[in-house]
Amino acid sequence: MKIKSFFAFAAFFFALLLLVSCEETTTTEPTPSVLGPDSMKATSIDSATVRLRWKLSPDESKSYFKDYVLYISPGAFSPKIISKGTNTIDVTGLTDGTVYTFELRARNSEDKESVGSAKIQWSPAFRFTKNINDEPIRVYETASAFGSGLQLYDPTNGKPRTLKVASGEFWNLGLYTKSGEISLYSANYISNNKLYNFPTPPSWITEISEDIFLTNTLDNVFDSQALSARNFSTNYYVDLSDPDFKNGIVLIVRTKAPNATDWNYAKVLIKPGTDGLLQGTPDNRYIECVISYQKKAGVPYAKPIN
Amino acid sequence: MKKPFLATVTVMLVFSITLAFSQEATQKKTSVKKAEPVKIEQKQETTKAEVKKETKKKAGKPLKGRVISLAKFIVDNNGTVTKDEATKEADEGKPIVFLVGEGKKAKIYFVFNEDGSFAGKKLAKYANNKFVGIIGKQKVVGGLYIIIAEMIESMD
Repeated sequence: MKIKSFFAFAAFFFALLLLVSCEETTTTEPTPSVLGPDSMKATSIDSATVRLRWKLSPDESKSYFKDYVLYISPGAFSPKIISKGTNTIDVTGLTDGTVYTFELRARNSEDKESVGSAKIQWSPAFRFTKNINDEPIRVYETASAFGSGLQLYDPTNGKPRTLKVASGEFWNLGLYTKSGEISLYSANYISNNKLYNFPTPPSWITEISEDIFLTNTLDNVFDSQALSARNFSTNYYVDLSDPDFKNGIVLIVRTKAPNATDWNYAKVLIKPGTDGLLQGTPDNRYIECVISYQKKAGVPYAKPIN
Repeated sequence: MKKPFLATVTVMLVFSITLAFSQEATQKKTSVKKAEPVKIEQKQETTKAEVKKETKKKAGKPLKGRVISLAKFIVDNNGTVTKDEATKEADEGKPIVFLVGEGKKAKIYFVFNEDGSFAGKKLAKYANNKFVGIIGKQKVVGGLYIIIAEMIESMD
């Protein structure tokens, strides 16, 4: 009898234990947070569009990873929901010269945002494929009767302009093709070293960055830092005959108006031709450019945050 | 008991290998597309070496002139128009022409494209330029000066 009671008690106790342990397993744990995206970079597509690119969250493979949310300020921008797996987006409706802050966070399945985020400050810039004559932007070799100088932005006509030596005052960059050399110089270097004899020296200071990007489109040149962080000099020049450059290059240039304290920044694409960067036939060979230009002085496209 | 375990391990192994390979391929593709910066040289402030004599074959020199409205030229003997005015006139079918020289030596050229079409609309884009250069074949037809333009460019 005692044994029976013992077994009955033991069975009851075991059943109770099972019940309690079952209740414990049904307790809902909070969904873990996800790690944020990282390494945001940007490039200006046009005066109203910035393209962003980032490194995906390492938690994307987790079942509770949901998506990303992008915050844009200043301005009345609603947060943009970006689907999982996307690492590039074009943000439109921006204003040129305004430096926007873009902050991207990841979200878990409960819409809880990651603590870490990918962040950058960037401004859109004007993109010019045509000159003041609504024709491709071409700069001609030294022997040509056409202009060998490039004004990145002509405020009167609102576009880039090709100029002859007589208008050297307005040159920013110049193509020099003599003695077997095919080079692009800043107008200040040209003037100081009398590569061309300008009637009036250039009124703006133009400096070239030491970094050249090997690409045939401006859309490929992403940056995570302000362009002002690079090394610039009026003495940097680009040897356009370099075989590495034959498929196109982008150089970064900055110019400063007389008596100004701030620089205007630009990216200049030199498009590839069929046989290198110099196209056409002697004596009217030329380089063809696409220019991204920041009209507002003192805005080097970006301001680093992280 | 061992079989399901081995099958699971095999599936995981195959999956991880596939994942590793697919990531590598993506990375390679991305790195190919990436615009890599390279350093460029810096020139010192020195005087350039003496320029060697060039031996390249010379191409035709451009005819230098300015873009005018023929209708206005008849009225004011000047013909100056802005780019917007010239574009409007060209759209209306009024002739935009090329004036070479000034005064009594002035010649008015009718400019045609290489395909035989009249180049008034293209010429209108250069109306704001002080000087314009045209390279092409010149001829006189029935007393009219004609250029078949191969190149039109600013000469400012």
